[in-house]
Amino acid sequence: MGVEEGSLLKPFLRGGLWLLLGCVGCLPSMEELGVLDSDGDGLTDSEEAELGTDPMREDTDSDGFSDAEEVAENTDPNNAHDMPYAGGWAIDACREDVESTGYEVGDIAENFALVDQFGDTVELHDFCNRVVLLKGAADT
Amino acid sequence: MRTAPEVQALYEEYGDQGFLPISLMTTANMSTWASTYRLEHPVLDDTGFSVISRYVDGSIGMPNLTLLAPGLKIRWRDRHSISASDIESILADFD
Repeated sequence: MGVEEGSLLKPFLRGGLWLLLGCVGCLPSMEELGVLDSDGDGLTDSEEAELGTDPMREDTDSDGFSDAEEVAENTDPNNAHDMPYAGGWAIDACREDVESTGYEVGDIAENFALVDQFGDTVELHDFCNRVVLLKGAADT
Repeated sequence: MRTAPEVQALYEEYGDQGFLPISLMTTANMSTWASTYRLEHPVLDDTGFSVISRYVDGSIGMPNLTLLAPGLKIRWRDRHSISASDIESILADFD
């Protein structure tokens, strides 16, 4: 009785298949690798967990800007009242770290919040990394 | 530098280097004014003088200028003019 060609290998091949199928369950998932982005907003689910945003919603606070856009623009993706300016002026990351001291020369200027020409409320401390010229003006 | 178009011109020239003028309007026609002069920098409603009055010694003369360095440190205040060389100088300090 002859031995069929390759028959000796079959048990090993079959075992290898089972080993391979078993390993699929052993591989780290996308979520475990930290690369899963369930809502496709550009932030991974693990990043959203750190930010406290909803990994299933592209725009957690429903203010019209995606969570990723808000992170890039240094605004709070969990606060619908904090969003990039319609005027397009960039907001500096240091905005939360400014420690005001007063209004005299050498002081760190106190913050203020006033409405701009587009209806947004603009805060001085948002421009903490800029050279700022405040111009009090009447109509000239 | 005194007028709105001059401020806008400075913003267009130095804005991408970190210079940002903010106009604090003390009259009620802020939006019209910004539109008329095509102002792209922030024009804010300060009709109550709540902000500008903090930077003035004595009576308010317009325009009233205050310059803040990066970090919002007050470099000088209560002046009535600024030149391009003033801006270039402070930008160079923080380049």
